Amino acid sequence: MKAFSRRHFLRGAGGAVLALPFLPSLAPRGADAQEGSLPCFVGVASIYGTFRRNWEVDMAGETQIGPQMWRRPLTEISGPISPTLGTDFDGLRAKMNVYTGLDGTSVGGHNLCFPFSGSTHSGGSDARDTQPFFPYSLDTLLERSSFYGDAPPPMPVLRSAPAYRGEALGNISWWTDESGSVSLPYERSDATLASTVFTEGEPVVDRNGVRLRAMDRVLEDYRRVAAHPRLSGADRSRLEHYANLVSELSARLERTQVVSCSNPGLLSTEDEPLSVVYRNHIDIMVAALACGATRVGMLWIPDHDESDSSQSDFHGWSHGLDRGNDGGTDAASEASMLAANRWIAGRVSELLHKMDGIEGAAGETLLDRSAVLWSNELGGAQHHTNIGTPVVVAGGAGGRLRTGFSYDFRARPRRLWANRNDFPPMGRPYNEVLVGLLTAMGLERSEWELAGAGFGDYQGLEARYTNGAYEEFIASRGAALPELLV
Amino acid sequence: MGRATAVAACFLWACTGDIADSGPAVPPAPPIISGPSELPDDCVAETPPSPLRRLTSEELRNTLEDLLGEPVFEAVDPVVRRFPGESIGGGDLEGFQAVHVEPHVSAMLDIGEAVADAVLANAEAVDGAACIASGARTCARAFIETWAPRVHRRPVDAIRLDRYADAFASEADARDGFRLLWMMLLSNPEFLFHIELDGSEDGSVLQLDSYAVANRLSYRVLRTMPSAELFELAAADALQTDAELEAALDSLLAHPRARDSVWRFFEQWLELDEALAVSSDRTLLDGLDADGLEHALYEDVRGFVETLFWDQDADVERLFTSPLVASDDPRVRALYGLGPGAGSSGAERAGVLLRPALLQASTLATSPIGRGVFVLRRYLCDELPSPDLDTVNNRLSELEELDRSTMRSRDIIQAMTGDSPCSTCHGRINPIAFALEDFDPLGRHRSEEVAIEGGEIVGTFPFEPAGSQLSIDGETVTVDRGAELSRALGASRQVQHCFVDRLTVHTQGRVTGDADACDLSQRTSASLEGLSMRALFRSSVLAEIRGRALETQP
Repeated sequence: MKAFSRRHFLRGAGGAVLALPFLPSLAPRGADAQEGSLPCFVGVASIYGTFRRNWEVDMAGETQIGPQMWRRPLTEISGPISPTLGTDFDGLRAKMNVYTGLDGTSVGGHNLCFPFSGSTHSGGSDARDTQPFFPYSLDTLLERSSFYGDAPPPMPVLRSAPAYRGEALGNISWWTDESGSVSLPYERSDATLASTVFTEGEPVVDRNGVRLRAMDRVLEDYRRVAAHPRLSGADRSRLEHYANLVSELSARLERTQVVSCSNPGLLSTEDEPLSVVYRNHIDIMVAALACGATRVGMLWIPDHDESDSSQSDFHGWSHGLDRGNDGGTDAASEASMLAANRWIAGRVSELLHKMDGIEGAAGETLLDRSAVLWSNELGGAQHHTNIGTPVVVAGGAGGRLRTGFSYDFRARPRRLWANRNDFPPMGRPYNEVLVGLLTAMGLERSEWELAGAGFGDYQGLEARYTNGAYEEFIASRGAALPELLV
Repeated sequence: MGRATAVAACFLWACTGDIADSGPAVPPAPPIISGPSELPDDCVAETPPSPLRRLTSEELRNTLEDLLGEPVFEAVDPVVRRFPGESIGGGDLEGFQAVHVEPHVSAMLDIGEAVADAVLANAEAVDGAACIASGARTCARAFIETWAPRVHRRPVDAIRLDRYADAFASEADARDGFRLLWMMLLSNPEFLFHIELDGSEDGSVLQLDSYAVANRLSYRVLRTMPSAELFELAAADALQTDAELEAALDSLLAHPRARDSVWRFFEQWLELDEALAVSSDRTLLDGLDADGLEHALYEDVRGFVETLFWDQDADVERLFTSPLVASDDPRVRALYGLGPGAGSSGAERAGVLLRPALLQASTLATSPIGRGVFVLRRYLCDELPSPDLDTVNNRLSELEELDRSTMRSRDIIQAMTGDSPCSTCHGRINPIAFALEDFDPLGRHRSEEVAIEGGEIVGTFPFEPAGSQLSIDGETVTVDRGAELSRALGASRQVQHCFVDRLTVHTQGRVTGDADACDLSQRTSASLEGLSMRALFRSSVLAEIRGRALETQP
């Protein structure tokens, strides 16, 4: 028995290892209502893919970890992670993976169901209202599996689509049974979402606001003392350093909006900038997860800027279509597409930062005990297939996921098809990500596998995966993505 | 892995210097143990700079405990523990490198909020809080006038008091206002940092006012804010003359917490918690119950040091020569080879250097290089460079064939480090290390080295005198055993200078520099003449306590 621990009382229990806002007092009353370390799942889907080179991470100094597998720690990358991801995810690099070279089966066209079912719509290209070839999506499976055991919460899955003002919502999440297939709806109104998640009546305690106002006044104190003529330059720098830390924390706190287990009474109007609308939806989702109102959150992001400008513009840029469908890299389209994806990345980073700002009873953050998948209906934008789908996995799923890396699964040398410089080489089946996440959520293989053929659809990869690769992947259907699970 | 490799892995040290020199081995000169040049007694001490520093985690904790009183502090203690501590690894004395990172900022906000809630929950026990808790906003100003000076540890002007009052009043909810107030108070630089700006300028020196002196005295001795009595002396400006300062200091040294504070110096200087890792090998333990032994060994050192410091008023040399055994724990006494009753070890053991706690190795063999490096760094203030890991790994790979059953630890070390580039540093490390080989991995005196592997004894080697040649204060001395080494160290000027320097760093919470040279030299001379450790501690506390060097404007 080691009954004596001097370090404990000298250093305190905390240590100096916390990298991000450690603000347990911000956690909502009742955040601990979430049971133990039961994992949560958050799915985020965006549309129209990316221009491949704007997604890719600089892999200089990468390590080959297996056949057709390369890895680089995200923390080794100086500057932005990539043009699309930018610096919004700094501070989360140890808690996320960025993937290149994950392939779906689409040979062209939009498949909203793809990110969470690993499949295309059965009606063919752009038939978004037809059921997927694979009959259910990850979120609906969680809803109906052992994930919730015998006590599902009132809202097993929160499905949010903040502002899409175009086509009918839905067709992302699917369930199929004897009576047929059904697409599960996504909620557009933050007010409706909030009133569904939370009961009315409890006051919202604005603890965050008090803290921010305190920091403003503390900063004034530091500036005043730092200006004293009897301080040396070095001493002044020390105070300014502390003041800078206060400023940085304050800025992060501004992003880490307070969450409450009562209805915050949000309410965006048609005139709000879209980032405000998204913020409301994200706050509701984070609060719902933190308060135990649900353990599965789904966020669809079909928008691409503050003003909800034309979807057809967004779609046009994705094709590189400012001057016609030639598949080339039109510079203006690429720039517009990058700006759109940066805006979307901003929403995702806001979600992740907020999840990481909520601490549970055991010291882990909501993000630590969750798995977040950010995926896309398309891969490379211009060719409009889901080959090379841009994917981020974040969170630890309660210690079940290995994070902190950029992975590249593309075969080398890279053989570009059809003389189209955006057409990527063979990678790995995207479905392996979904299998890994389902496993991390604690589901048995028997709960997600269909007819001994793994999860999701593999037909369609055959034409791309040559030289025995297709057979190899088919044989290992149901395997999790390498390195994803601890 | 060869049998020797496990032994070597915890031993090898290689300097980064002179790595490129791969020429033939040159027998190293005896390691020089001599202090900085002795300055003339009439040298003039300068006022050293006092870099601004934050409260250490220990100071913060003590300060909040004394500031808030028991019921409130108990309530907030779990939050206070979130404040990151300082690394004391590698012998950095706590305090002078008190860097801050974002968790410090967030922890202070958490603490402020927790204090506000705890004060309201214990309002009857806190001056002026009952009125606040009743919801009366009008009593906020009185509360602030009482508490702001305590938090700032000095009087607070009306403008600042108004700012606090305004902040409280700015919140619609009184509880939020109270939280805002405490977050401001405790995150304020005048609470969190040792701000010393008030006093009178005398050339390039600021003669501190009595409040700053009270803070220096209190934090240097007790690691906490001044007591009410000390504040009263400051208010009466009665901390300016030598007599006033000495009287106040003696009062502080009589405080029960002074023993903890002094021990904290020794504990950090000796890196004691780094040493506490007792081997669990049954063969090595030979029937000794190791359960909780670390704590008993720790207390043995504390008992030894405190007896010398407080009861015997001993000097530094005595710290290295005393055979005192203070522990009553039969297992510790067994390590000394003593039964119950006797208060002293035999002549084979002398001073703090040969306490079992400081000779421990958690492995089956001694850690000669670890011991040698410890002596150089801790007792001699030798800035030994860190080993080059590539060199270490290369050397380890060469040791696969060495056989622990046929080689003493000393032989293995010599084979590994005897030539360049390792010899650059090991020429200083090894002679000291080998002189300590008459003590086994548990700190027992031994006449033979026993090699153990897999719970079996695989070899025994009689101890041979080390024959280590050391150049101490200009004279070459041969030491064969640990006790001889310890006595030689205790008498050396460098060791005593190192002790005085470390003591100054600890009490004053800053790194010493050129401006301290005269003062350190004079006090080292006094130490060599027999000035006690307690008197050295007093002199370190009082050194330049009234002055702070101001930055010279370009």
